[in-house]
Amino acid sequence: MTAGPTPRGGAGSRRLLVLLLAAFGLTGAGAAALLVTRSRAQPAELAADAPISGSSLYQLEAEWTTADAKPLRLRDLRGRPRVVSMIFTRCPSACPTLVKEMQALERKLPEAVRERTGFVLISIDPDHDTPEVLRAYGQKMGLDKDRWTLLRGSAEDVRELAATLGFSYGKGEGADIAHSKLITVLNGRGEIVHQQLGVVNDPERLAAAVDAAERAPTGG
Amino acid sequence: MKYVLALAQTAWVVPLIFANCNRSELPSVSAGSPSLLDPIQGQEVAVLASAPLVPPPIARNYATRVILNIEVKEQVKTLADGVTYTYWTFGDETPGKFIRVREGDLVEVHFSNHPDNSVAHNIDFHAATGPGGGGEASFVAPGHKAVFTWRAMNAGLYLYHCVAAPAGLHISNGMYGQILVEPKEGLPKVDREYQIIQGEFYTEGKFGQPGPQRFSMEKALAEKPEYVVFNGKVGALMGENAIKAKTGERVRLFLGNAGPSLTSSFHVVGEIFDNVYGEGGTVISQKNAQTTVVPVGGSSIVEFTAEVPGEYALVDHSMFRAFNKGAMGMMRVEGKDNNMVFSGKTHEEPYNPGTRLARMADLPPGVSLTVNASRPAIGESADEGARVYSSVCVTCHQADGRGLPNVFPPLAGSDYLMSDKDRSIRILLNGLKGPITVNGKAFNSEMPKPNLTDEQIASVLTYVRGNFENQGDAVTVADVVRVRAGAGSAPESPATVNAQFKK
Amino acid sequence: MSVREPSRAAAAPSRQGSRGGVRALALLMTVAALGGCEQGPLLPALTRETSGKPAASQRAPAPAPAHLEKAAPSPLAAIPAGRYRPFYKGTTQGESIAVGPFLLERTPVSRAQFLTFVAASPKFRKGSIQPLFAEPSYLSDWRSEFDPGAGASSQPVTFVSWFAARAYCESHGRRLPTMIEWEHAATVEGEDAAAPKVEPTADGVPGSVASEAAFRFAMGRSRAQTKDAQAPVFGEVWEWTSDFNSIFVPKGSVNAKSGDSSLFCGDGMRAVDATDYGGFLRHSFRNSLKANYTLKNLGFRCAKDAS
Repeated sequence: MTAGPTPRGGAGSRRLLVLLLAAFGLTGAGAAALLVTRSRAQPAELAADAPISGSSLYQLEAEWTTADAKPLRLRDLRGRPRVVSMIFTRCPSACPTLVKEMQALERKLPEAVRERTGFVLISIDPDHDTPEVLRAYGQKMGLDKDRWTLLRGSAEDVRELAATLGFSYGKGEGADIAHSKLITVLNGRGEIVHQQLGVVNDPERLAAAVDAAERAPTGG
Repeated sequence: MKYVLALAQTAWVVPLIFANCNRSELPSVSAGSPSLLDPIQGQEVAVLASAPLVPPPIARNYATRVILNIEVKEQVKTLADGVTYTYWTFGDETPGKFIRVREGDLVEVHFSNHPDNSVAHNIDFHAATGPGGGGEASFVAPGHKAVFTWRAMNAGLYLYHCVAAPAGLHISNGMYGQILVEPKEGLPKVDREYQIIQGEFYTEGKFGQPGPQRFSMEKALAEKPEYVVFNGKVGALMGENAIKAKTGERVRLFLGNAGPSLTSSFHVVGEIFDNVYGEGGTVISQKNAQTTVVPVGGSSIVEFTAEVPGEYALVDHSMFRAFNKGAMGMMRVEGKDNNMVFSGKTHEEPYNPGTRLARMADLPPGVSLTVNASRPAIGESADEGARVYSSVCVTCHQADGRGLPNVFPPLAGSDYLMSDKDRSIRILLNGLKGPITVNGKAFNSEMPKPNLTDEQIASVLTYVRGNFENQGDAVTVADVVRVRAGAGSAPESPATVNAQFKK
Repeated sequence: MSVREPSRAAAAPSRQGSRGGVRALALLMTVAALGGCEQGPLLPALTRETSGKPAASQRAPAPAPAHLEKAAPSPLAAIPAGRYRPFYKGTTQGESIAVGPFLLERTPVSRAQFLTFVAASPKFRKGSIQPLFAEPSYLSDWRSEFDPGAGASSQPVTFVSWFAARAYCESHGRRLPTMIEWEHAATVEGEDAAAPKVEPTADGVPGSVASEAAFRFAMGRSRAQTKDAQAPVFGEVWEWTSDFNSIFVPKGSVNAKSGDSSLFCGDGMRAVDATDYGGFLRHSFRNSLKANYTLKNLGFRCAKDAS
């Protein structure tokens, strides 16, 4: 191991010191890494002019209207994870159940994650679901306005978004609309990172997906 | 030591780097949480086998994650000699490969639909508990793949098949196979294991019609397949492909029935099933059974010991399926003869309790043995004559000898027949055409030459002349020979007839 | 003592210690660099990012070759107003509904026609289109951006996504037909809504053993089955419609029965005619699609409102 006779005294303590410094330096690097991964105090917001990735839903140009009757483009939602579903307010049972499932997910998320997560509901019944109707619906369902975004768009834009997500819907009898059950998790860049399709109810998996999306990079 | 210390100082950072790793490449889709059974240890790739073989028994004694890769391929294949069909297959084979897992295993299915395929497919494992048995989770368009997992909570033998709409079509085209979930303690050891799955094909052409065949929805709805086969095609278990065993070996058959319509009555000709796990469950539900029922979308497991060498037919005992539609296979047992069990033919000898011929000779004259007792038969040739009549003449002249009005003249009480014996012989030698009048009615047809021997002509004319309200004498072979010599070969026609009458 | 001294002293006698530290650091860096995890926070700096590719193309679009012939869009056939009985009971409970009049292209869009379109629309060229709008297999049977291969004017373009199809139609002031419009035109000739089924033709495709051929009749009314020379002809490819995702069928369903219909609004998408297995194949196929899918047997044609 040693090249020559082991130095004694000062040389040995210097060696120890260097070793401690090296260990400290590496530990510091480790701590820095830890800091970066775990840091939630100051999340990196997606810069307004950052390019949108080729897989991002936010490439869709459609203009929507919120429950507050304000215009919104999907790209305005970037920078934080979003849990997205398509519903309609006249839906008798399936949509309320779905919204309840999303609310359960909201409660399940760790607080730091919940603070940063948005929930988006898009109406597939735009003729009936005007902004006023959507606002009333949000109130009725107890949706936190800071976190929940309800959107209304043209029939064509709704069809486009549904087709992009893989969501099926079609007119049923009377006011009824038959539709699939789909919850989509988008990361801060608007890319689909998880989808829950069908009757399945897997809150752990959804929460994990949101958590992972929240910690993913948002920079371009 | 310092080396180790330095390394240890930094090693704990490494897990952090991988903390965010997401294992799957695809945006994951939840399939539901499996209930808690044995803890899953490790993972392995599923060991599969092509029919009629099966993978070896599971050796491990713990539950694991089994990775199962299934690719759907639509491919033209041979259904029978000279007959092709567009099969839809799991892994380019019908039936799909046999899968063998252990109770409690977590099966991770990588389900791919080849981009060259034309329609969407999915898969339903009867062994899976959950919506559609996987059907919903696995539904994919061509050129796409789905990944989902399910827990094998119940032991037993199960079918898997495509369940995309219309499911009957997907199954009829060959999308089925079997999966065995072994109980934790495994199955009793045997010497040979084979799988046999029965399935039907509904083709527009009849059984055996050569060329490419198309699916017939009409026959499917009527549940009338043209083909009922074992392991995906006619002859899959015949000849070279027969399953084999040696005398003294214990054989287990994993039987399945994909239908989609017909329940199977599976039987091994010359064998008895010592044990039957009815409906492919985990309990021996019957002993000493000759035939086991395999329901559509179900299975059965049978065990027996091969005692005697020879060939044993495997059939669906609905006979016309076995003999006319392909539901037949073969098992070949080799080894020493076992005369204690089956001796084969020991000897052969004549058996004569007295034939009809002999008895007629004993009869006093005038007593008839024919069915039509209105007139005594004329000697033994009446029997042969009746036989010839019922195979050659009855089609046109009918069983009662009255023919068909305006089409085929009657022989019963026929003036035309009885007035000229030689002419009737000539008609049977060469046929007849042209207008004639029988019992006052006109006929103008063609009677083809019947191609009979002299003996047959003599006997059938004798028969007709002595029956059907006719009272005439016999025609002998000598008469036929004489007439033949002078008759030429042209069909009898009215010209000659009239000539005869003029005579 | 100065800061430098320890390191100078360290350079000689304590080389083992620093070497060990350097090795550990090197190990750490290597492990991090090799880590296959795309979502680790340290890695973006060290590994190539696969999902963060910016949408805007980094290079200017190549000009289209000058020699490219412009292929005009297909002529439009007039589909008169009629009645059509939808495949699923759904809204109409098996009753027929009014359809049309509208205009529909006589043949599916050809490769040559699509080439004319991409020459003018760089965003939709092979290799340029973004993953959201088309899968990697987009135009995969084209040799290059501007080379669709032999027989371009007679072969329908496939490996195109719904977005691309829609954009093509819009570029000609047209649109994709709705599913009802397409079904009506492809399965019914004239106004007869009583027999919407398309039957397999007796001769099929002579001698062909291609797997699609056996079920090509499910793709719509073929030339052999079309009496009117002016009417559109189908049967070569599956075709996109504007609302291909308008039928909700539980995907594990055996026969389009909605077992959990109470959960998904709308009772039983039951088929009106359960013997119409061509219809089943068509609707089931549509149900498996997403808007960015590009498939070997999937093309499209455009429609236009009757003026």
